[in-house]
Parts: sequence; structure tokens; C-alpha cells
Amino acid sequence: MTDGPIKDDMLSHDTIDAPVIIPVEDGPVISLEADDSLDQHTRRQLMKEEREIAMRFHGGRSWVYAALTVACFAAWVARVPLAIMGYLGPVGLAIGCAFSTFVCAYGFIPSHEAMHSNIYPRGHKLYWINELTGFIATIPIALGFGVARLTHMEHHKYTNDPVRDPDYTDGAENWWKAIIKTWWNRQPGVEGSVHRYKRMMADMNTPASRKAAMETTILQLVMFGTLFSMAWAGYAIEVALLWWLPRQLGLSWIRYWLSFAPHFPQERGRYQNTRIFKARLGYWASMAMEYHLIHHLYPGIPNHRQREAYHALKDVLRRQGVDVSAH
Amino acid sequence: MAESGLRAQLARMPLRTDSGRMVNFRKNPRNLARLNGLCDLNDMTEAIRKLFLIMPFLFGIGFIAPLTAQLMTYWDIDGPFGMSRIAFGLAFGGAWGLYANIKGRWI
Repeated sequence: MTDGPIKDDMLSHDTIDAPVIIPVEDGPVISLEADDSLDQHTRRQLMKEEREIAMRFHGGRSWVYAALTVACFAAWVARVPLAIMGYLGPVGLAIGCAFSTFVCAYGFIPSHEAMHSNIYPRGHKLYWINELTGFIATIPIALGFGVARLTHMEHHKYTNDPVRDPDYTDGAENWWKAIIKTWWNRQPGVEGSVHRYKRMMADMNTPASRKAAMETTILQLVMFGTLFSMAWAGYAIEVALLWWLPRQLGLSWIRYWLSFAPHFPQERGRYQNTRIFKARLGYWASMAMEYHLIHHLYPGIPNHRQREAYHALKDVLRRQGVDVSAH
Repeated sequence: MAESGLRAQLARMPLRTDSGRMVNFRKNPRNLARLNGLCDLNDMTEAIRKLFLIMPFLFGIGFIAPLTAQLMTYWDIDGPFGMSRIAFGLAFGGAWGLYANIKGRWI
């Protein structure tokens, strides 16, 4: 079964009562390994219950994502002239480096919301704000919004599929190997990260994928052009601290928290391909990815409401066989 | 025979490409490539593809070289063997970029 919200036609509208379920603390009630046909009515009932709860958490003040993105992007762009004009001393550069790393890493969150049209839905008169947010949020990491969206949709469709999931290469045996892999996958001769994305765009070979690949190529050319020209103009240290290093750190942060941590250990299935986990660095540092399962089940629930949605859904998820012991 | 018939039919029919441009196959046979979805900018994309193939080397001389020279200046380190800082930066960055290009990894 693929991820995403359960549509009406997937559910039974009859009135069969679910069998009485005796809850067992910290453990699944229904074995997902068992013959599915035995409890299909129960499953349908659970899914209906799950969906009814989840629908309450869709929407919200998602325009905040757009506002924060525009503000952060403006500040991110402003660092360069400030550095050239000499307003940023060593302390200013250090602060600029930290801020840029934040923008590179956390900029992916509003972009991610835009990929799912959660800021403004398709057809809304302000849908262009959704697209603009997605577009500018990924500029600091030099990844085109089109490529990010197309590959992310493939990720949802084929989560943890070794061949078809664009993010599968971020998998690792443990956390420290995962950190190394976030860097390793960006090496010129390794097929991971954006190299894999580009290859997938070429494989798709649709007008949208070709346009998206070109957009990313142009962005990367602009990035390299800026790095080279600023470096040769005498601002190599500045541009290294304000863009190159933050981008490297930001990409690793994104790959670790969005690709590795929530999908470890890369199982398959609607309730198994993503997990609820406890991040040692906490909720904010992990980019709220502790509840990433909620996103894979219901991509329309915005990032800031996933924790709340999880706690409302916790009992249903536990009965679906999800390990809910982390929170 | 059938193929030439199809070509003749195509030649009479201006089509719109992905980018929205109208092309006429009678005027330019290369437009047939556009019909295959190979993109309007075949030559340019090929040039860019080649550019990215040598990007690690370009990064070495375009970014690592001046960065090395400027860090040496910042820490007041002279170039070895009487080399200027930028000459050392170019040798170091160029060699490292070339290594990355050949090995497919930076380390």
C-alpha cells in the first residue's frame, strides 16, 4: 500500500462493528505478520477512525512558513553585500555562518510543506505563494524546487524501495555511519543525494522532470559562479563561511533527520516504513521529524501539527501495530 | 516507406515543443530531435554536462586555490619553495580537484 491519506473509496461504508479489542500496553494488538484477511473489518474500522482523527489536523496557519521563508531568504542574501562592505568581522562571520547553516537546513521545512501544497492548495488564488516559498527555500542549498518535489513524491510512493526511493541511499547501520554517509553521498563519483536525484530526473524523462533538472543545473551554475567569482575577488573566506560550509552542514542535517532517522531501519509498508522515535537532540533540533510517520500517513498535516496529531492518533496507531513507545 | 510518409506528414505540421516554441520540421531537420523530447537546447545541455564532469577540477582552481591563498595570508604563512601564495593555492587546489575528478571522491 502506498502512503497518503485514505480516500473514501478505500473504506467500507457498511456498519460492521469492529471486534472488541483489548489494549495491550506498549505493544501492537494486531500482528501485521498475520493473515490480513482475518481482521480486515477491524482494519477498515481502524482506518476510518484514524482518518477521522487525522482530518482534524489538516490546514492551519501555514502562511507562517511563507512569511518566515521570505524573511530568512532576504537576510541570507543580505549577508553577501554586508561581507563585501566589511561590516562583518570575525564575530559577524561566525554568526553569519551559523545563521546560513540554519537557513540551509531549516529552509527545507517550508519547501517540504510547499511540495505537498500545504501552504496554499492547488487552485487557491494564493497558490503562487506556495510555489514561490518552495522555490526560494531551496535556493541556499542549490537544489531546484522542481527536482525536490518530484523526487519527494517518488519517496512517498516508494518509501524504502532500494531502486525507486530517491532517498534510499541515506540508509545506514547506525547514527554515526549515517552522518558519514550524508557526506559520502555528495562525493562526485558516488550516486547519492543530488546525483541520484539528477539521474532519476533523466530516467523519468518527462517535460516536468527535464525542466526541473535544468532548473537545478542553473541553480548550481549560479552557486559555483558566485563561489568562484567571490573567491577570486578576494572574498574566499567570507563566501566559504557564508555559503559553502553552511550548505554542506545544512545538507547533512537534512539528510540525517529527514531521510535516515525517521526511516531507519528501512522496512516497507504503510505503518513500518517510517517510525516514531525519540531524538537525543530533541524535537526542534530534529526538525520535528520524531513524528514523521504522521507525515507519511497524512502528508496534508503540516509539520507544526504533527506532534499534536500523533498524540490524538496514538491509540489508533498502536492498535494498527505501530510502536508508540518513544512518545 | 511508411517512415518517410510519417516524416512528410510531420514536415507539414508545425508542432509545439515542451518550452512552448513552435517548430517546423521542414525548415530544420534537427527539429525531429525536439519531437523526441530531447530538449530544445541539446548543444547547451551537452556543454553543461561536460562542464559538470570536470567540476571538481574547476572547483579546485576556482575556489580552493584562492581560499588557500587567502587563508595563508590570514595566518601569515608564506608559500613553500619561494612560490607565491596564489601559485601554491593553484597547485594545491588544482591537484586536489584533479584527484577528486579521477577518484570520484575528495578524500
